[in-house]
Parts: sequence; structure tokens; C-alpha cells
Amino acid sequence: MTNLQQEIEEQIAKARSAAGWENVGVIREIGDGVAKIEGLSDAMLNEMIDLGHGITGLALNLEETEVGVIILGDYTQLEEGGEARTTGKLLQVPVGKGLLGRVVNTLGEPIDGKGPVKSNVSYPVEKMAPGIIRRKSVNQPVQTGILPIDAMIPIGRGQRELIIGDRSTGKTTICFCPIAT
Amino acid sequence: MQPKKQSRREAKQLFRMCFVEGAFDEHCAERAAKAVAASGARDRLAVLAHFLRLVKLDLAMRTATVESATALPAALRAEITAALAGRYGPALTTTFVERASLIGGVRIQVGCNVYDGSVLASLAALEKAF
Repeated sequence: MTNLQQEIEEQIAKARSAAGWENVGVIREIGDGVAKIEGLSDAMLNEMIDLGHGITGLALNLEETEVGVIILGDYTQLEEGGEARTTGKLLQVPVGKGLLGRVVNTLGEPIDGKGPVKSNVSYPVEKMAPGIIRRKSVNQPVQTGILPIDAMIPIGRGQRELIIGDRSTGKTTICFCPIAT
Repeated sequence: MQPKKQSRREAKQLFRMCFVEGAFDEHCAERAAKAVAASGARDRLAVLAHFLRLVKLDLAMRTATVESATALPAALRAEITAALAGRYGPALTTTFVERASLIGGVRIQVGCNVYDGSVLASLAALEKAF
């Protein structure tokens, strides 16, 4: 009981100090998971936009007077004329071992009914990849199960490969063989 | 070019033409709107609709709405007006509105910028924290 009282007092103390600035906009148009929002003059590219009702959007199209937002949630709950706010955060998802074996949506929120994801760290989705020097060198092969490939052009684990070919020449088969083996 | 884009571009050009010495001229805008409406252009309605939107947005950027739960004293109003004029320029029009649902504190909106120091906002933040 005492803990609860302390917690409430702490939260009240925090809330009183918050007299903040917000950048707001008005939803002007919604259709097929995309919204046009008037205002939001300080929105950044790839910034998460709070659309209300617990729905988040992704600012992708910054225009002079409006922002095009992809709605990452149930857009049928939103209405034209509703308020939207910038969050100051670029699109980010929780990362860590707590995500192993979980099913999450585009924002990294669990949708498998197993409770919240245990992760304190979030990484931006559009993070710059580390340079070649910083990466761990490839020292383990991937056995594709296709003898000519494994013999002549072996693939390292972690590498990317491009498969080019005419139609019906077995591109998909080559992709699925390593999975099957 | 798509008709929608073309009309938006024309509306933007029209809007820019309504600025005299860096300030938006309402009489000029009125004359321009009348001239477009009188012209027989096929896309005049689309142009006028977008032009109206641009005018409304510009007006919102030049208008500050100060909301408070009770009427503010004259000295405080003058202080807020002066502070806002210092930040957003002397052309800013400040309006004071009473909104009992704020419970206490002041909420100021200039265009899409909102400075919220109301009790209602604090309670909303408190609700989010739990």
C-alpha cells in the first residue's frame, strides 16, 4: 500500500513539471491505410506520429502544408478532423533476446498473446549498417545441397547472393533447396 | 501533369502573388479569388479550394489562441501578447478564450505549435504514465 502511495506521488510530481510543447496537425484525408495530415510543420522523415486511439503512423511524405503518413494500425478507428502529434522519435522497434520466438507487428508490439516483450532497448529501423571493417568476417559456409554451387561458388553464412535467370529455370528451387537441406 | 497537381500549383502561385512586402494582403487575395471565380477555367473550383486552404493555414500561423479555465487579468493578457509577439512577430493576432475543461493553467496554440501547461494536459500525462 505504501509503495503504491509513493508511486502515485512520484507520478504526480512528474506530471506537474510537464508543461510542454507539441507539434499538432489535423487529419485531412484517410484512405487505405494512408492519411494526409495538415500541419505537423516539424515532422521528420520516418518519424512516428501519434494519431490518437493508441495508433501510430509513419511520416513518409513531407510536403509544404501537409504530411503523408502510413498508418501502422487499424485505420478504421481514425476520422477526418482528428488530431495528430509528432513524437520526436524515428521509427524504432524493441530489440534483444526477449523477441526470440515472439510474433510481433510492424512496431514490434506482441500479437501472440504471450504478454509484453521483455526488452528495454529500441533500435531505429532505418539504422545505418556498420562498415565492412567492423563486421565479423565470414568463416562458415552454407551448404546449399546443390553440388555445383557448393563446389564452384560456395556461399558464406551471412552473405547475400543474387540469383538471376530466365523464367522457369529454377531460381525458386535454388532458394528453397538450402532451406530443405 | 495531373489536373489535381496543376490546380494546386496554380493556387500556390496565386497565393504567393497575394504577398505585398512580405505580408499577406487580404484585399489582394479577395480580388484574386474573384478574378479566378469569374474566369471560365475548368479547374477554377479546385484552384479556389486549394487557395482557400492555403489562406486558412496562413491565417492560423498568424493567430495565437490562448485558452484558460477562467478569464485572465488584463496585465497577464498583455504580458502573454507581448511574449508571443516577440516570438512570432508583431503581425500575430492573439485571441483569448475561456475553456472550463482545462481546469487550470494555460494552453496556447499558434498554427500547429501547442504550448500546453493546463491541468487537463497534466492529468492526461498522468493517465499515460500508468
